[in-house]
Amino acid sequence: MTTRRDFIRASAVATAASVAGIALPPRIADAASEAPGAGMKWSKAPCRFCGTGCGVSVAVQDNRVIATHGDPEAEVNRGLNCVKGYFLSKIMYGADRLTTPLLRKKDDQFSKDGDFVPVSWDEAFDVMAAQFKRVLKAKGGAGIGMAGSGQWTVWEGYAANKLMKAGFRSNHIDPNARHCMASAVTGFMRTFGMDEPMGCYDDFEAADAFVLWGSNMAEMHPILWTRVTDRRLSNPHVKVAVLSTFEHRSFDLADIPMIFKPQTDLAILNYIARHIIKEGKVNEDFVAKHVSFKRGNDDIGYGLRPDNPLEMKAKNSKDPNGGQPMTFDEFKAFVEPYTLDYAAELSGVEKGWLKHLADLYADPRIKVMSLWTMGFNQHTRGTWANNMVYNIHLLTGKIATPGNSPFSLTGQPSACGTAREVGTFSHRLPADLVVTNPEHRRHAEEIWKVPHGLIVDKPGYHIVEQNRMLKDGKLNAYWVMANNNMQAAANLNEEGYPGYRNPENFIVVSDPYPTVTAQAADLILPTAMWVEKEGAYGNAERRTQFWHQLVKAPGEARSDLWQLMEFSKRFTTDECWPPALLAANPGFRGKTLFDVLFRNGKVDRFPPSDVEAGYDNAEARAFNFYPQKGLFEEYAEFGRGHGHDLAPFDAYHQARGLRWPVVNGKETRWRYKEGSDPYVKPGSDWQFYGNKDGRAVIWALPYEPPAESPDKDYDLWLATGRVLEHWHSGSMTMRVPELYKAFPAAVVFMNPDDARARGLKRGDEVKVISRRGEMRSRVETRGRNRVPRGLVFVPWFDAGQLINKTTLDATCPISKQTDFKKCAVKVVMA
Amino acid sequence: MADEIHIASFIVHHRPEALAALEALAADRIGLEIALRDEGRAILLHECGDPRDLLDCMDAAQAIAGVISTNLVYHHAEPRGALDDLRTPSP
Repeated sequence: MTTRRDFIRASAVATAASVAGIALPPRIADAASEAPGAGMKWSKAPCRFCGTGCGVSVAVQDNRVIATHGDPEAEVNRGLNCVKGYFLSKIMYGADRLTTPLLRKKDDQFSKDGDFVPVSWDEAFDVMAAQFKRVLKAKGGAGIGMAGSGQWTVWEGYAANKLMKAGFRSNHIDPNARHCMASAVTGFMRTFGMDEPMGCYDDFEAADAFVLWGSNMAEMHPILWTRVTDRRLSNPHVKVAVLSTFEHRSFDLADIPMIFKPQTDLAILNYIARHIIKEGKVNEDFVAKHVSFKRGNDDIGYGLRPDNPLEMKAKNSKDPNGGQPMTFDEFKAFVEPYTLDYAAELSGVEKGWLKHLADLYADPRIKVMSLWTMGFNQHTRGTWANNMVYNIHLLTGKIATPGNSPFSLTGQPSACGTAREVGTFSHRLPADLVVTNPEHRRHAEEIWKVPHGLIVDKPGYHIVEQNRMLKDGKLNAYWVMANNNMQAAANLNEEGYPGYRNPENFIVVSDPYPTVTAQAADLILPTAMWVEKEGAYGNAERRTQFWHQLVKAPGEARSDLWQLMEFSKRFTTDECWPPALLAANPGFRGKTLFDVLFRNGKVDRFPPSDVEAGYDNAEARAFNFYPQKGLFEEYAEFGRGHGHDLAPFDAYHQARGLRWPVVNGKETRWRYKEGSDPYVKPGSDWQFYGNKDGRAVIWALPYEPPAESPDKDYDLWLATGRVLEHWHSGSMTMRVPELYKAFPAAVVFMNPDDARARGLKRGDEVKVISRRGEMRSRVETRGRNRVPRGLVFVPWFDAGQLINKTTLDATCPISKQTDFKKCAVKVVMA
Repeated sequence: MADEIHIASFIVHHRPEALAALEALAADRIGLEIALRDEGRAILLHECGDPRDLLDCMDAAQAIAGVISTNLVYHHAEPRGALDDLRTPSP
């Protein structure tokens, strides 16, 4: 006889053994073989947090998520969960969950300086529509903006894009993914003419060497780190190189550990290119057939306001993206100054390690996977850093085959699927199309069934610029969805907060929780999250994953999709579109935006009965059609036949995700390589078909200094980032008691010698001060992050310690992504 | 809840030289045991009354020199009384 306890203990061991691939002794297998308890319904969903895209099994009982486990059938994580994924079931049940709209009121009227008062959805949307119409009348769509998210589901991002770019005729929509992935996007576009990685997670089991460029995978992508760890520990020939500006947990596995001075990764990358050429290790056949060379414009500024002295003196601040063709010999001469001595002197890294790293790339027998996230992307030369890592993979032909993989990791669950593929950036349309191209606009207008000439031909304000334009009074009606940009954006003292509180502006924030951003708004809309709605995310390896609505949202909380569609009913084309356009297309007169965008015969063509039996769908009930399916199928028209093919809608509810392009029901693991990518022309071996000539571009780009470096007044580098326990701004993980207790407050990680020199010791309260603002925190000289002298690291998850009061809003001038890793501060006793 | 029991398993990836310290940790912590192991990997089983103990154990394992990663796989919580029910043996 066994007890239930014995059974559960055996199940726990058996599950872990199957995940790890360890053989199970018969006594445990027998004990675990009985069926688990009833009463819970298990369904699949992707995790709500990072861009890895782990599959989780979600158990629901009585309209409540009561348990989550890693999904053993999910290829991404094979049953594993990180500590955040393990507590997923609790993120929806924070004590301060918002369940009703809240409007700032005084004397029962909306008032910018009033206090938040609960209101009905009708009143909330009445006031919001009146404010949007005030701005439409004065400025047209040019005064309306939206900050979106890489956490939007695919159809929410798509609906928002339509509402803004076609409905309100405003391109001022940009996702928070601008802060995390924009440099990766522009890097891909400049080198390959097409966004997103060519390889996939299968590369982890095929590579002989892993190089982490600034990434701390052990804490930020723990499940993928497990795959690296497995590969390294079970194959002694495998090497792991970890590069960072400070020592962190990923160094535990490093064979080649390297601490470099901020910004000098650019010099190291050029040194490796030079080393490959000097050692005769260029794959000449590959380069001759598949690569072209360009010299990029240099001295491109720092993406600050145009009147900043740094911008005024930069030679190419108006054309940062430009470049001229060059030859291989010219490229060779270009990298010639980046000798081992020069790279070592600039970076502070020992020559032996640098050479060892360069040899990993140069040796044709070693398959290399390069991995990066914010270290490259949040960089005033972020686009360049992305281009330069492709340079070394292209010189050696180590690309698009198993294990040879320059791989851009992502931070948000649908930075790829929603922000990038749906094209919610201010210059983009779906499937890599752009608003500046007349053919692209025409194609989008046709798919959307709206008049030609409707989409505005200029890029809108990107998310960093949006805060500046709110402050300057150019953007006056602003909707923030699924992000916490007041906490996330740099320089909140000088740009973000004054923008939101500018009396000319009306700010709406949709969120499940009263974040820092929500509290700076005029209207807060309570939002359904994760499995309270049907959703789709796209992860870092091009995998599109679906989930069903599994529980009802609490109180009056509604999904972003419902909010966008319902709000569109309050506007007519006559209020939003120019008279001349309507005169030429009289059939559109007098219709609501809901009619033209969502009741267009495409989005509304699937009935609610198409929702899979056994699952609720709040939006299908509200609108009497299946909007998720209609929006997805309309959106998929953009990519099918163009290298972005998505499978039919229903297929994703069955599969544990599929990697696009999905052609004839088959997903694609390695793009651009004959045999694994159906788009490659037979006989061409490799074909980089995003570029017209089929060649990838090697860019000649120099080392240039950062926007701000430590000096005698502000003598320390500040790098910001994340910790394992918390995801981004902590708006979800800080509400899970166990995660909160594990890491309750941000600290300043500081070198013990730097602390001593300032008369500080561990635990002392200090002020971190920059030219822009200051923040109180406590000193930590031990623990998981060991920083070198001259640098402090502060995590940004803590709403009680807003480190972005001190950061500088300098961006990569090409991608417009902020550099959160480098500015100058001082630290003094509080 | 105070009367709940939590049973969890997690996988530890480690260099071979870290095994002795892991064994010492398991011996030292009530409710923690090494259920299975092979070269470089160990499955730890943990039973406790407070989920924070579980996180503490994971942190302690992670802090051992030579431990590369610790990942939770399985977690179950229910009232203490129900756990001691006798099961009917399966046919």
